Amino acid sequence: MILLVVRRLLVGLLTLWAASVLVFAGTELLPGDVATVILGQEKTPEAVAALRAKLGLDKPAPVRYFIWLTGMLQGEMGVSLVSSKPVADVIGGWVKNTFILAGFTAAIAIPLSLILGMLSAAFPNSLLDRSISVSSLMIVSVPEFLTASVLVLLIAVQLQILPATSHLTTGASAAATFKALIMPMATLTIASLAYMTRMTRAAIMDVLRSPYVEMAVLKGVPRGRIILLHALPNALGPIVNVIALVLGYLVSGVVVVEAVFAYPGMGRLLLDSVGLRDFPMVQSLTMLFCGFYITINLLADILAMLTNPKLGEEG
Amino acid sequence: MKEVDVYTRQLKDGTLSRRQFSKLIAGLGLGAAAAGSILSSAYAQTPKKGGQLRMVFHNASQQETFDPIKRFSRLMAHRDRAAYNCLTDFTPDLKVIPALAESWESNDTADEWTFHLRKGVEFHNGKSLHAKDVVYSINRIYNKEEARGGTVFVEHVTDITAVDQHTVRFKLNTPDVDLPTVLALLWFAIIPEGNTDEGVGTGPFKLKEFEPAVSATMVRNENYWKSGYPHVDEVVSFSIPDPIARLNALIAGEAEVIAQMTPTLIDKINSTNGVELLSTPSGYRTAGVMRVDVAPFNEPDVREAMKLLIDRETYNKIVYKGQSLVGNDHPIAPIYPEHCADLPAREYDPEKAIGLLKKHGLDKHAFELFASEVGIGAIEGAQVWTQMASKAGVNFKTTKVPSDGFWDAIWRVKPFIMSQWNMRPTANSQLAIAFKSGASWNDTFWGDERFDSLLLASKGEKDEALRKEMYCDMQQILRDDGGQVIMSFVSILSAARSEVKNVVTNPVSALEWVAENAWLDS
Repeated sequence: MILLVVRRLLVGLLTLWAASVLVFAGTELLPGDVATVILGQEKTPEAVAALRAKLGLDKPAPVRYFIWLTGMLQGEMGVSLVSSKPVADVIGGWVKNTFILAGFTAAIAIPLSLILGMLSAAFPNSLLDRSISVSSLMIVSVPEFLTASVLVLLIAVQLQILPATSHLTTGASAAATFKALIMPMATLTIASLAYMTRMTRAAIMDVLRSPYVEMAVLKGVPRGRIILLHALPNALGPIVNVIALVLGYLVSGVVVVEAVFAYPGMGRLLLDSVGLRDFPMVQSLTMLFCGFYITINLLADILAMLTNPKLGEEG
Repeated sequence: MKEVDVYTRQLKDGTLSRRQFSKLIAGLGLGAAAAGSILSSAYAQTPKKGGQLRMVFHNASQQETFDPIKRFSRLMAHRDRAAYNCLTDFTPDLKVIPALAESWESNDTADEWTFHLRKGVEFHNGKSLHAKDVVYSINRIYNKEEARGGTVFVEHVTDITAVDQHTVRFKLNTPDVDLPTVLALLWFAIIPEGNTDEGVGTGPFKLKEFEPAVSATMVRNENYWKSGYPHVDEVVSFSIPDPIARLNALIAGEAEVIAQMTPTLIDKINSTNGVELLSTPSGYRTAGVMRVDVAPFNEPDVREAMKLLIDRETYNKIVYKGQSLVGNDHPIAPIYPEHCADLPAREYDPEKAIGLLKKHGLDKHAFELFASEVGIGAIEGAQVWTQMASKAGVNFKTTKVPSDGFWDAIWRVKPFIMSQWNMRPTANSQLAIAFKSGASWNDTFWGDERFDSLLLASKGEKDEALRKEMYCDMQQILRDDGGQVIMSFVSILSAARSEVKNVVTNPVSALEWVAENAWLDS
C-alpha cells in the first residue's frame, strides 16, 4: 500500500506541474498584461514600457515561467505584480477565510448528511425516506446563487435577523464573525448536503443487500445496529469519495457565494487576480487549489483502502 | 415636490437668500404661508453631531494606499478627501472656492500665480501648515515612476517656490487660468513635508485603521479648520463588489451610503422604504468612437450619418431609464459652466443619414460596432443604436466583446466601438485629453488646427465672456466634425439611507465630499 501511496504522490506532483503550465499558458493567451491592465485607459506606450521593465515582463514567456518555477521549488511563491508584496503575505488572510468557511460548513454538512442518508436507508420507501429524497433532489436542482439570494431576501432584508453581507472587518469580535458566517454557511450546506445524503443512502442500501447483512438480520440484530456497525463501515469508500469532492468544491468553487455575501475568500481573490493578470498570484492560488484537491483525494483513497482491504491488495 | 427640496437645499447651502426662497416657493403656487412653514422646518433641521457613517464602494484592491499621487478609485478618492485638503476646493457645480489657500491672484498674462495660505492650520500630527509642505506635496506628482496620473495637469509649471511661510508662487511656461481649479484635484492634496502614505493631512477625518482591500476607519478631526465640520464621529469605508449585495447591505442597515448603483436597480431602490436614490448628473459618457484615420470614417459625411441615426431622447430613456443627460456630440456636458447651450441639438434624421451614405456609395456598407461591459450601458446602447439604424435601412451590427483586455485589443484598435470617458474636472482638460491632435488618449485619431489653437488660447484668456465664446466654438467644431458620437452623459447613481442628511454629491466622482458634509438624523 505504501508503494501505491508513493506512486499516487508522484502522479499528484506531475498533475500540479501540468496545471501550472496550463494556467501559465492560459494567462499568456489572454489579451493584455498586468502593465496594460493596471494602467487601463490611462496607458501611454512609455508608461506601459516602463512598468513592464519594472515588473520584469519584458522577458520572454518561457523565461518568466522558469523563474517562477525555480522560485516555487524553493518554496518561494514570488511577489504579486500588483501590490509588490510577497504572494504569501497577500493571500494568507484570504486563504484563512476560505478555510474557516469551508471548515464550519463541512463540520455541519458532513454529519448531517450522514444522519439523513442513514435514516433514509433505515426506512427505505417510507414517508421519511421519500421526503428526504424529494427535498434533496429539489435543493440540488437550485443553483446556489438563487439559494443565497432567497436567504438574503428572507432573513437579512425582510426579517433583519442576520447581516446581508459577510464582510469581515479586522478586529471584529468572534461572535460577530460567526454571525456573519451563518448565511454563507447555510447556503453552502444546502448546496452540498444533497450529494452526500444521496450517496450515503445509495451506498448503505447497496451493502444492505449483501449476504452478511441478511445473515445479521436472520440472527435478529436490530436494524439500527446493522446500519451503524455493519453497513456504514463497509459503505465508507464511496461516501468518503463524495465527501472529498464536496470539500474540494467548498474550497475552490464557491466564487458565486463569495460574491453574493461579499465574503473575502480565495475564489474572489483568484477572479480579481486573473482580471489584473497578476500571474504569480494566479499561479500560487491555482497551485493551492490543485494541491488541496490532490491531497484530499489521496486521503480519500487511503481511507477507502483502509476500510476495504481488497482495494489495497489490488494496488 | 422636487423643486421644494432643491430650493430648501440651496437655502441651507447659502446659495439662496430667504427672500429669494420665499419668492421661488410662491412661484410654485404654494403661497407665502407654505414658504414660511418650509422655511422654519428647513432651519429646524440643524445638523446633529455623532454617529458612524459606513460608505460602501464597488472595487477593492490590494493596491489601495493613502498616498495621494497613487489614487485610482472612487473609494480612494473618498478616503483622500476625508484625510486631506488641497489649496482650493470645488463646489458641486464645479466653481472653485478657497480651502488651504484663502486667496490667490495671477499676473496679467496668467502665467504666474500666487496663493496665500490660511493661517493656524495644523496637520493631524500637530505640525503647522507651511508653504514648504505645499511645494513638497505638489512636486511629488512629477515623479513619473510613482504617480498614477495628474502630472499632465501641471506639466507647464516650471517652478514652485515658498515665498514665506504662508505664500506659494507658481511659475508657468504657458498661461493657465484653470490653475486654481486644477489644484483642487486630489493629486495635489497637501501632506507634511517628507510624508507619503501615512494618511496624515489637514482634512476633516484622521486615519485610525487601514487595511488595503479590506477597510479603513477614520475618526473626526476635532481640530479641523472648517469650524462646525465634520458632523459624524467616524467614517468606515469598504467595498462589496456585487451591486445587488451592496444594495442588500444598505437595505439591511449595514451601510449608510453606497456607490455605483445600476439603472436596473432604480425601481428596487425607489420602492424600498428607508433608502433613497442619489442621482448625480455628470460628465461621464459612454460614447460611440469612430477612428477618423481609417475608411469609411475618414469621410466627415459618414461621421455625420452615424450621429444622425440615433433618436436621442428614446435612446436615453431605454438605456439609462432617464438617469442621463442628452449629448450633442461634444464632451462638454450641461453641468460644466462652459457648456454651450446655443448649439442646435442633434436631430434624429435617418433620411438625411441615408442620403449622406449614398453620396459616398456606402448605403450598403456593413457597419460593425464593437461593444463590451466597459462603459455603463455600452452593450444596451449599441443594441438600441443598431435597432434604430437598421430600421432606417442601414446595415448595422453589434459585436459583443469581453471587457477583459478591452483597452488592449479593442480601444484605439477597432474602427467603430463603444467606449467610456470619465469626467475631467475642467472643460479644458476634458477637451485636451481626448481631442488635441496627437494626444496619447486621442481615441478617434482626429485633429483640427483651429481647435488646437483655440484650446491653447482659451487657457490664457482671462476675459470670461471671450473664454466662453472660445469654448462654444470648440464644442461646435467637435459636434460637426469630431469622431465621437456622444448621445448621453450618464448620471452617477448612488444610494443612501434616509437618516443620512445633507448628502452633497458632485458630478466628477459623486461621493468625494459626502463624509465631510453628511450628518445622521437618528
